[in-house]
Amino acid sequence: MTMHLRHLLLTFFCILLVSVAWAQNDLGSIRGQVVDEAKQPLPGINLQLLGTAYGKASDDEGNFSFDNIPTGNYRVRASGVGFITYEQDIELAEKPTMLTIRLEPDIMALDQVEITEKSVSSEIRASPLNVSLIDIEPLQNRNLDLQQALNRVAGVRVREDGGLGSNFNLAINGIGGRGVRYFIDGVPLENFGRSYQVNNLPVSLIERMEVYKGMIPVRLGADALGGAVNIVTKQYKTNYLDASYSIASFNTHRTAINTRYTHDQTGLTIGLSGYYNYSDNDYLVEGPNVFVVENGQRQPIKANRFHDAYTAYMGQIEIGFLNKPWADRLLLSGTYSGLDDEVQNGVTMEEIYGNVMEEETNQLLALKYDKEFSSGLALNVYGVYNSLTTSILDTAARIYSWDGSFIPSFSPNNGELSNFKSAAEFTDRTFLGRINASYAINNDQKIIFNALSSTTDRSGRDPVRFTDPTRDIYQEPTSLTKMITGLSYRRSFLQDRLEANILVKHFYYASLAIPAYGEIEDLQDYQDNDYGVGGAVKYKINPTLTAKVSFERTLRLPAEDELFGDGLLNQANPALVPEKSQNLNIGLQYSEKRIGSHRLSGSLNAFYRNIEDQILQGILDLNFFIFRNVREVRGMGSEVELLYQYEDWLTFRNATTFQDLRDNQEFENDNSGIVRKNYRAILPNTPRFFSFSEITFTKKNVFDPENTLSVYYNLNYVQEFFLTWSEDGADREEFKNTIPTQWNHGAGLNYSIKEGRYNVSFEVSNLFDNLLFDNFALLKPRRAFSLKLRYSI
Amino acid sequence: MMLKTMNLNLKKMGAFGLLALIILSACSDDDSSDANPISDEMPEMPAFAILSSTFNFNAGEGANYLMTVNNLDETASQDNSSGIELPIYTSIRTFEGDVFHYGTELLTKYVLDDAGELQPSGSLDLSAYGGGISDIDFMSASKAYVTISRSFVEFNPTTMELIEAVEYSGIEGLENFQDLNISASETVIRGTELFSSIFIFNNDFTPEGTPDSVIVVSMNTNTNELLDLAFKPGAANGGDNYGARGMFIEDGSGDIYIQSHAFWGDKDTPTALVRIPSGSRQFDDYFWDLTEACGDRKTLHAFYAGGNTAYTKAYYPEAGNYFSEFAHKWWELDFAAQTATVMAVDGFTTGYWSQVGLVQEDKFYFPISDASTNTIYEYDASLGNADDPTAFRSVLTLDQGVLNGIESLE
Repeated sequence: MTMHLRHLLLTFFCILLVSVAWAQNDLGSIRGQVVDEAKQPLPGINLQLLGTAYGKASDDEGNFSFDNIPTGNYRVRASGVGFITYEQDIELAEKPTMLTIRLEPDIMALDQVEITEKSVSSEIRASPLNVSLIDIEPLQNRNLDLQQALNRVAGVRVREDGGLGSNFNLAINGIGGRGVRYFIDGVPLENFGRSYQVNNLPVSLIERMEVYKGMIPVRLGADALGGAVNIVTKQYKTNYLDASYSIASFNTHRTAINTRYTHDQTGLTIGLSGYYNYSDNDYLVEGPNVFVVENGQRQPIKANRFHDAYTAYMGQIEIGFLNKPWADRLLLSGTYSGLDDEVQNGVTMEEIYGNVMEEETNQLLALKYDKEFSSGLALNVYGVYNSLTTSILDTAARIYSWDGSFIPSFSPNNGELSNFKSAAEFTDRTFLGRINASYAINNDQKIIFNALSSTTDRSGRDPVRFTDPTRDIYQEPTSLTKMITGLSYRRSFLQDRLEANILVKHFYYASLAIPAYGEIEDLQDYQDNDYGVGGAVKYKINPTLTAKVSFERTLRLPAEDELFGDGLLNQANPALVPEKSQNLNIGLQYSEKRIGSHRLSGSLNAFYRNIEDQILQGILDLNFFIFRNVREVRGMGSEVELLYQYEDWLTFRNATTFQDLRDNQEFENDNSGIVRKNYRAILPNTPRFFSFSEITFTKKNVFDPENTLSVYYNLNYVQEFFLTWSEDGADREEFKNTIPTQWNHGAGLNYSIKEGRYNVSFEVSNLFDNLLFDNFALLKPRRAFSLKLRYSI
Repeated sequence: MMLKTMNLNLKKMGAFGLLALIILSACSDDDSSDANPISDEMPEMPAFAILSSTFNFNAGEGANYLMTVNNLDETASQDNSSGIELPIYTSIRTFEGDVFHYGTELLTKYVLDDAGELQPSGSLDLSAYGGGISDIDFMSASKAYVTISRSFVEFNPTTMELIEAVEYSGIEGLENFQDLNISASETVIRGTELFSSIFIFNNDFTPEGTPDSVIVVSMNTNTNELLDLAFKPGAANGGDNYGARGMFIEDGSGDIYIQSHAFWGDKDTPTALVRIPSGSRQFDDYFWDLTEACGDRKTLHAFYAGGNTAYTKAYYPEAGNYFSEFAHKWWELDFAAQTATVMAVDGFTTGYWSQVGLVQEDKFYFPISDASTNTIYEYDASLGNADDPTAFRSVLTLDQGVLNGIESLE
């Protein structure tokens, strides 16, 4: 009943917005062209009428138009990668207003990542939220994953398990794991599988990434706890082709293609994209956990990883219409992706596997609809059906050593992961729908409404483990429904010098699952709901200095595998309640300042997090794990980002973070009033200080006026941190488990021919072949070389 | 030339040292000529090794910390700062003043250095013989046995060299179970024969076949020849691979008492004390229902105190989860009179992480835990019976973690 009421209210609200929009009269239009200093047309430039929802990108000829919009005064903003943002006031009458906008080049943005005020999205830039933008365009020639690009952002730390395709954990301001949500074009990547995740999507598909720290905008309707990453594809480019191939150490090959054709007259558009990634991941490992056993004695060896090959692939076709009277964008897409992943080791390199496999296939069908109505109403509707099938094969009764040899297991019925064999296969079917509506009341006020609903049900089987089907818990149906609605109101004051944004979100979820492992019990259903609120204020102190404050009380709903188990050792716990967090961010942003040939920009931010009911993986019994709501965590920290450039040939950037996260649960949960042992202790296994720096030298006109050579060197530093509570074993530090200090050097060069049409890049990662660890006793890849060829028109 | 210079320097240093010694002696407040400065500087050598666990069941994080205690005094408390960080699911055992740490497939020996600190001194990786080491029995400085899932392994505890492994696959009578998981746990040595319980379980960790039986393997420790199997209907033993201390008791007469805990498997099977009498490898008719004797509670881990007395802990389900919560109380058993008495100490101990105890010099040391502290109590039977509170006193408080192992270094 409650669900129906909610849907009715949602529908009513949408109808109301549309009615208000159509009720407007006195319409006009703005048309024009964007050119560069040489009066050459500039495609792909973002144009926006400030304070409204109107936004467009210039087409291949640099042309743009805003039709059927209310007459009145507007301020037009034009921004694009590599150009200084341009703004102009106009008075719109009923007759068309013609504009020619000439953009000046911004030499600070001509290469590498841009993580400062000077971004491709002026609306986001002007937001009072703490957000960093990563422009992927300058990184397209590099041989890197998207998650590695995220390591360049202050406050963000990515921890990887191994080589290509390995699991990773991204933390924003200390909150990681599932507390961080990922989106692609504003749609949450909910249960779309690993092959459709950040570490697999090719950079050529992506235009930029938005990293939200703390408060998450309403349009990203999801239950993110402490941050979100929104991946924005090249959705506004109309005709292009981007193809690349790279070859790298460890027999690594990566191919990606991304193309779109749009017929100008009909607006018919067809896009094709895909990737294929493969690596043996057979890098050399060594250290205390790499040994063979001879007569009971461990003999240290150096060995190549021998069961870590990884294959991931994706193909996507998208067809639809652009710029029609009834839709700015209507696109139907179908995606097929998958992966085959050999599992080499467990949580440390002491546990070695030689036959465990994980396979995944994913089919996704999506429909997108965008329309900006004349009165300032903009609608964005998205619907998707996704079917994700995951298989875990563990049927070998073997015990492996690092030299690749093995002995029979203790029982022929054993697997490598546990005392049972498994061939679990389960399918998650997800329906996800999102409607986003924004309405610009006037130049200074805007409201945004977002509703997201997703339902996932799971079914599966494990015929190897459960020869008796009546005991096969995977054959019992389970489901999870989430509904997240949000409303925000934004208002500007003092000619945009002051801006305030408030939001409210409602979270609802219902699950149907078996309570725990063991004898099959009756299915139980659980449901819960909660509210989140937030607010943000931005004040422009002077033309170069802006202060921002944001606060949000938010929560993260339990994930599918936390509720249902993962088919292996994690058992279901449908009684989980959401994690909750209070997030406060305070920051100063210093926009570009020129002193002669020197340019400097940067930001300084401080954050506070207060997490309750944190979900952690604990022990169910001697054989199985389970997720539980465990404790409270308080975190504080600061981060700084700097960008310096000298003329147009030298760029230096740095992002440095210090964070202090502590156990903040004072008393035990048993109402005993007893102070817990770890109250206020530093949270174990959490980096405290890390920094990224990069210096780039750029030389134009190399052999030809259209050719550019750039050379770069970067350094990733992470200070040593303890696996366990720092006070324990402090006097015998030689025996204490640590994740050692990490100095990760990288270097490369890129040669672009014909203004970027042809590109050749050579890169060395882990330049000094250091033993690098993000996680305890999990050695990351050694020094690797890569060569990448890219063609782009 | 270099040697001459060195000698000259040594002479200078010697003269300077002598002078310094005279001056220091003259300045000393203690004029007693009997004082021996060398003996004063000798560190007090520890008397106990303890293992403190910080493992948090709910969060799935923590470790064990191995450290030493000079004495067990009423006012003492200790945190984990001096501990050697070790994995969870592990235990300690001592032999001739050395500490043996085990539980995973790695058996590591620690010895005390001159400063009284434990230092690693050799290890054995037994991963080829099973998933985790269950128990150790020391026979001499050159011979000891560990029980592990698939084998008995004989090793030299002095040199930490592996001598021989004996697999269960050669045991006649276990043919029907070879495709299942077999786990050996508790052991006891009688003369030259080693007895061990074996637990057989399915792929879903439920007992297979005969959960109402104790299987005892007896083997001649001179030849490592497997000798016999013993079954005891109505009892269920084995399977507690973790710190399998106790449960197998050899009294002075050569009788072996086995605490058949029946924790895993048939819930209706009681905990029982059963017996293999002296000179036999098979059970006799002795059967004491410990569940009934301990107030309808199952018990696990018995620590033999000599005579007919042992101490064990009983599970109180109403107090909480067996593994992670404070739900176990200590009891005294008299297995001749077949009487059980709950010990007069308030509070509980945790089941899985703090199920250890130590009998030394007619005293029994055992943990009582709550959410903030873990206290080691001493029970001195010479001061009173088990139901007399005056016979108990606290002797050490662990500020962090629960007691996961306590062994004598003497």
